[in-house]
This record gives sequence, structure tokens and C-alpha cells, in this order.
Amino acid sequence: MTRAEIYQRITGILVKTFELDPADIRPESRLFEDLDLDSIDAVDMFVELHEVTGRRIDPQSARNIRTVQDIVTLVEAELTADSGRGSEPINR
Amino acid sequence: MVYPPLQDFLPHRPPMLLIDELVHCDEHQVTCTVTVRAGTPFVTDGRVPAMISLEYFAQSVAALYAYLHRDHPGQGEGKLLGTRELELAVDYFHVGDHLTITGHETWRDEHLAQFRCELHRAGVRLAAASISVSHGGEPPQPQPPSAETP
Repeated sequence: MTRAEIYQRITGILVKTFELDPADIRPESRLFEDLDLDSIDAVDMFVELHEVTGRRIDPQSARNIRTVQDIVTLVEAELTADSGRGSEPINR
Repeated sequence: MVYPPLQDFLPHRPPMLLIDELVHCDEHQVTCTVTVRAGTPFVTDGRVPAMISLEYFAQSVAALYAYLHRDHPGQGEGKLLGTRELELAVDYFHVGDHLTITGHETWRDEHLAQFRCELHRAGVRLAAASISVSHGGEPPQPQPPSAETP
């Protein structure tokens, strides 16, 4: 998946799961402040991301997410983790 | 393996303890059962609204965390925060129905967890939902079951 495709998938998840207006979503949008998500919504999103990456999102990494772009970066790292980059174990 | 009675580790008490038994669990999933009985909460005219599945799901997940924390009473207490995608195939369950409730953890961090839950009667799925919960902190590492039940 290219970065643009990942962005599309994530935008799609945000629109479908939280009934957001696609026009309100930009890479720099902050999830809590701009898109009005809360910590329970964030859990729903991480579960959806599992479907995209096929891996459980590491709660440690998830905690650092602030913007839509941060999600794209995280998903990209998860998808390339098998080829070596970002390959720190996610099991605790 | 045989698990102890729910009231040995779960803070819920009758009449609001709605599930009967913990029949299986590991660190990330749980199976509980209940037989619908006359005279219990929400049962009227021999039936209980299928919407009560949500409470069956919540109590089953509570049973999992309470069991995992059973050596540290109080630490496994949590709250139901929300639900998504509640599906009900029927409007009511009936007195005498034996229901099996399963919960499979799809997320857990240090405060919150989400479970995909299903309810079956005689192998047929009658209800499903995802529930989000707060939990009472990370469970301790699971003990081998054989250490509990010699």
C-alpha cells in the first residue's frame, strides 16, 4: 500500500466509524482537538487499524498518536516492519 | 477445568449477577453461560429482552478480569464505557434457554479494552456486539491452571 492509499483507508475508517465529514479531515488534523474523538473512539480506531495492518497495534506507539498523519506513519511502519524497519517486538 | 463460583471473585451479587458460570477463559478471551430463569431481573411473561445481551457481555468480560485478578481483589473492577455494532437476531430469550456468551479481546492498553462478544443458543448466534470497557489495570501474569486445581 502506498502512503496515499494508507491515507485513503484511514480517512475511510474515520468517516465510517465516527461519521465525520471527509472535508474536515486533513493530515494535520488533531484527533481529539480537531476531529472531536475521545479515548474510547481511539480504541475503536486501533481495532480498525488492526484490520488494515494485520497486526495488533502496539499500545505504546498508539499513545503517541496526535494527528491523522501520525496514524499514517504508524500504519506505514507496521506494514514495513516485516522488512526490518520498526521491527521491535509488539508482544509484551 | 472447573472454575470457582462467580461470587468467589466477581463483585456482582444477585439479583444483579445475571450470568451463572465462567466455563472457560485465558488471558484474552472468556466464555460464560446463563440459563434464563423466571423471577430473575428483566424476565417478564417468561422472556427477557435480547437487549439484555449487553449486560451479559459486560458481566462476562468483568468475570474475565475479576478472575485474572482473583488474587488481588478489587483490582480487576472496571466499567462498561460503550458499545458498537450491537446485532440482535431475536427480540427475546425465553425461560429455560441456555445461553453461551463469548468475549474475545481485540484491544487492551493500560486503561481500556475492547471485546468482540457473541451470544449463542444451541450453536446459533443470536446476538453480537463490540464493547469498550475500562479495566482495573493490567492483569498479573496468568498462573498455570494446574496450580489452582490440584
